[in-house]
Amino acid sequence: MNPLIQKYVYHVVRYLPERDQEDVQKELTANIYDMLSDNSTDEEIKKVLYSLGKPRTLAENYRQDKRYLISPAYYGEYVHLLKWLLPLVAIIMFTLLIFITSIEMIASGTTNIYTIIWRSLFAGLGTSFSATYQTLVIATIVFVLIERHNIALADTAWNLDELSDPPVDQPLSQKATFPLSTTISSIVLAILTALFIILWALTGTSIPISIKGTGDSLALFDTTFLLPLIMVTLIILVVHLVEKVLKIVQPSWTISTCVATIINCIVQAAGWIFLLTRETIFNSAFFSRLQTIDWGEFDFMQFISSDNLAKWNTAIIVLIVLITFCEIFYALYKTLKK
Amino acid sequence: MGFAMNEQELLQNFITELRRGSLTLAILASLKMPHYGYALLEILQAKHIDIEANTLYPLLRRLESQGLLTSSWDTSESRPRKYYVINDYGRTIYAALLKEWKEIQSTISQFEKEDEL
Repeated sequence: MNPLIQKYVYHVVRYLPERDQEDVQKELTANIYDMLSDNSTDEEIKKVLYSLGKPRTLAENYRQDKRYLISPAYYGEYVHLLKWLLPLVAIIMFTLLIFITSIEMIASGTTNIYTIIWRSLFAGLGTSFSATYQTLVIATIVFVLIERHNIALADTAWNLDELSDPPVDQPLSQKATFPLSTTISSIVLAILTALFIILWALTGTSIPISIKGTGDSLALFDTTFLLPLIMVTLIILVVHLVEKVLKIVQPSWTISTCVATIINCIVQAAGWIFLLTRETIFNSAFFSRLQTIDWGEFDFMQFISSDNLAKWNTAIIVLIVLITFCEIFYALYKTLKK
Repeated sequence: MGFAMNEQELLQNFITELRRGSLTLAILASLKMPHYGYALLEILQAKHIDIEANTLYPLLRRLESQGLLTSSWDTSESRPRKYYVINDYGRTIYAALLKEWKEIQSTISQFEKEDEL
């Protein structure tokens, strides 16, 4: 066999299931030779092979089995299920684990309230993430099985009376610019982040950062930084919540939502810049302790221990200002476009 | 200019869709006698059916696996060739498809006649 043809055919059949490989190889080779004259040159062979197209594309055409997990016929149902199932599992597992961990810690004699909240929160977050991920995998597997067995989900009976009425005073073009699910996710995320920062700040000395291999532990933030951190976090959270609640009431770009978005962006940027420009952010003992450790190849840890982070403040502030300008510009553009 | 290009692309897409739908019908119609892949390609192209080798060869295998065609290898000549021919099940499907195709053609013709009036 001509080496060019051999190579081309090999690169087609290698992408096919084993059961089809031999037969396709034989048939495709025969077809290619049929397309050539008796004493064809390499140029002629190349022309024919190029006319057959990329080997991988031809292999795709030859494949009899489906190459997707979930087809468009089921995808809508799949996304619809995930939209309510994943948040539900996340919330249930988060609440359950916080409750169970708190009870267990109290029963085992832990009295420090911050320690209880802190550990329960982590247990809740960890388990919630893991359970959500597992639910996603299981739901996907179920849908793949439904797809493979052609179970008629799309043909399930529906009732006209069950459909909700369209909004009366809201044009279609203004519908779901801010989907409810996205806004609620943003609220939950903001509350959790704020809770995390505040707890870290409140327990800054009692829940310290453990330093690898040394067995000792020190607080990350300087004590003078904790109050501004808590205050700024609370202010940012409140403004963020107001903006999101407004976006639930008015789920499209209006003057009110635009103004709220701009105020939220400015407050967030101002808050972070205020914190970054504090004289002392980190606990100096923490860095002194880090510098006594040989990090070996852990370059990032070496960089942190050199206490050079302050030099990056300007760059971070510039980045914050740029992002804020982009967000404000986007909000104005979307509102004016309407 | 941009609009003209888009119109051309759009038209080409519609033509491709239209032809794709009738491709199976044309292949089944052409395989009342056994043919090997390249010979069938030449027959179809001679009848101005716009089909490429990289579409036809896999399609023949698919129709065979769907039970509409039967294949056999002819090794009597210097080049072995795989011949495809329509079988009884293929003929049943072909008849049903042809009936449907004629109905569509008739409906479209009626629309055209109404426009002429």
